[in-house]
Amino acid sequence: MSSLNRHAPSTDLLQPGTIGDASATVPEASHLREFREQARLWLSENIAPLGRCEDGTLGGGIPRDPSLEELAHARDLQRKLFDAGYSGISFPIDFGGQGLTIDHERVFLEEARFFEVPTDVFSVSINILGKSLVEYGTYEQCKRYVPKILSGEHIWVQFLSEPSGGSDLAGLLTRATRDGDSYIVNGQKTWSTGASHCDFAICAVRTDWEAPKYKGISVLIVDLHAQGVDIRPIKQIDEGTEFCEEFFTDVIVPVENLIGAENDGWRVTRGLLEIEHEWVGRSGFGTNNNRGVDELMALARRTGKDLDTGYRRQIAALYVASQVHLLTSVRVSGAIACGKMNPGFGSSLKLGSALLQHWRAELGLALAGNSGVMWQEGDELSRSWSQMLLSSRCESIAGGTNEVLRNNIAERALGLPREPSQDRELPFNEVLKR
Amino acid sequence: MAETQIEVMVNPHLSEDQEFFQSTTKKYLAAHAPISRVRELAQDPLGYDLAAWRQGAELGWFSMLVPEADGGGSVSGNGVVDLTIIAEELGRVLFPGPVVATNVVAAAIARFGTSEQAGRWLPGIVAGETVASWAVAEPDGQWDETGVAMIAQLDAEGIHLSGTKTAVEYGDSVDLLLVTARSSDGVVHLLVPRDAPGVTVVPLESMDLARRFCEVQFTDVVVPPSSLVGNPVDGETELDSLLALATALQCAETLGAMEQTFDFTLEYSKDRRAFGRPIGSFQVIKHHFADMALWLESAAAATAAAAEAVQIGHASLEAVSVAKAYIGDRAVEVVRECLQIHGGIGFTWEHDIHLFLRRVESNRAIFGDPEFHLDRVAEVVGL
Repeated sequence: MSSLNRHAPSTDLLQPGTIGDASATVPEASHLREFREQARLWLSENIAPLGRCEDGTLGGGIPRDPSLEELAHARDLQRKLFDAGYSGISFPIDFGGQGLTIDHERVFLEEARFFEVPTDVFSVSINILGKSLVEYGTYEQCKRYVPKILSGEHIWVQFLSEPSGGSDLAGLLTRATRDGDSYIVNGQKTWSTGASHCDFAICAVRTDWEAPKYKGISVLIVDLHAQGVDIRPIKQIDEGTEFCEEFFTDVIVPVENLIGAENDGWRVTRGLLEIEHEWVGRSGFGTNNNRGVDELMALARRTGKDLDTGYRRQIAALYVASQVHLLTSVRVSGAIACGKMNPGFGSSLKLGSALLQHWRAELGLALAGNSGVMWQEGDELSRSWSQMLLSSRCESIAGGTNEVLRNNIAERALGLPREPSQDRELPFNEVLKR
Repeated sequence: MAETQIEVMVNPHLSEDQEFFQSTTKKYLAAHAPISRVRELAQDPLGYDLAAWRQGAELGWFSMLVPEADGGGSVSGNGVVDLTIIAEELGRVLFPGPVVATNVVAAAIARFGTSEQAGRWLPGIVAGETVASWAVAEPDGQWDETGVAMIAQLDAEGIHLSGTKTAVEYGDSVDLLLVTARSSDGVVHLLVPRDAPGVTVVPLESMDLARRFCEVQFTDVVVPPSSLVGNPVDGETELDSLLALATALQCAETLGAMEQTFDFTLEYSKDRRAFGRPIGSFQVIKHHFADMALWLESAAAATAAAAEAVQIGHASLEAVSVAKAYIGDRAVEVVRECLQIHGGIGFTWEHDIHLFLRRVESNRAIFGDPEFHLDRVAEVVGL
């Protein structure tokens, strides 16, 4: 028997531990078609279509890294989606969602890609943080926070990496000290996407320094408007500033903001990362601001490289890999949602997405030739290829490097032996002295 | 702007009936077609196990694409998908014999043939008594219509065929050939008994030890006009759809071979020790497995989409070329890498892994290599 459990049956198993969640069921094709038609109609009547770029491809929309004005506009649009039932499609009805499946969500995104929807602005907040709250938060926490996440009123972010380490996440040093009904948080986080316009964070902190590194971590909900939180954007190689670093000085967090039990935060953190990998892998390729295979074909035609067999095959191969990635995402995400596949395979989707985004950007710049590396001022189309190459380098790092993902897949999904570790069982205090 | 996208219309997972059928097929093959049989059969004059073939027929291996009126029937009503379940399991054990080829001929007769042809040939095929193969490729030719040069000429005597076909599976032993040729009215498909006068079969040596290929020479072979399957006007479309079916089934078979190789190599890497620890604990080995796990899931997803496209007769058959372009290359990467992970033992004749390598390297070329399918994809997407 395969260890991958590749062919999962289409039973209507509900995911354990979720409330009124239908996202685990497999929808009938006819229901999906009906939903698609409804979504298409609603979008065309309520949301502006995307414009065309100078090369004839789709463009415009709200960037991943919006200005304050763009953010206000994005919030209005998100509210509209929420009110119409198109935000939180796969979230429980109790928490403001629609209780439908991830297939419904995919169908909506497929239709919405031709419209000015603020998917990129709220994607992390809803699909990683909102989903993690639903999975690991209390009923009260979900009731209080999730509807506002879905409506766009609050934007959430995860605070995991620290300057001292990203891949070795469990070595984190941010300190939360219990003081009556509160924790006092001190320390520093980094690489938090879009944190400067966020309202809340799910933040991993250390609450026990005597315990081994994986056993002294807790996860807190932090109000980013609280006293002592200082968020600073970091300038990236592509000149963007989405990634931020945060400094905490005696930030007071109520004990009720604990997600899971005290010192049980590694389980929550791992779970959040699984949700993140699966979501990023499923959606990252295709819904972000990067230029797609269509744009590469348009570029090849402009440069005459569409007649070159080598380039034709490279573009076709990228198209093939893109299509297969979409099919694989549906298959793997569906099987994970049904509980028929190890969630570790979510890391496979993120790995696949990152590799594709590298490939697409590299091929784009190659097709652009000279005009991809030098251009006249204001020639945004020519500039876009080098931007895409530079931006793409983060895909194999952010949210888990390709190397960490491969370890995850091998150890968690395939059951290969763990990496040897020097510090796994030692009290964390001792580790720090080494 | 090509905004085409393969729409996933169905549940990508198997139904309970299909799962049961899969496990029945798996159990039968485990008991009756172990990989050790492949080595024995490589020395056998026929090259495959006729008893297993007949039992396979009872399990439905040749009935999936045949209407119930002619003795056929499928598990789910979706015969192509059901057949890919069988093909995948056959690929896992490298089952020798022209199962895919026989099904392609059955499909041609069932879909395009006359009721006389169906009545004459299909019950025997379904029962495992008639074995068939498709003679389409020609030496140095492509697998599509451009590669069909053999001329079929009609006169008062019948239809005359002269020329050479290659890559004909088990051409030395099958009962019936479906020969694809070119007439003045278009591409034609003809049913030719292998023992017809003028048919000369030259067995070929092949990289794949678990399969036989032949060159078949036709020297003024004459068959009656009633041998014509389908209509010359649609002959090219029929060729495309048969090639799509064969390719989708081959993808499933290749997937099975990839999965089996991956599974036993993963186990080996957990057991085999070096430097005091299992070799699967080394990061470089783990990372190869992580990549391969992704490719396997992707190959499975692509195969399912291809089978679905063939089943519903999707016009462009883009999904099939997408699948073959992907799997053709990924399969050889997986098996080559698995051989590497085995180290020295993987290079021995005694170890089974070379049998799998031989299969996937052969399948890469047969029914169009990834380059052929990439060129088709490029055209479909408007490049």
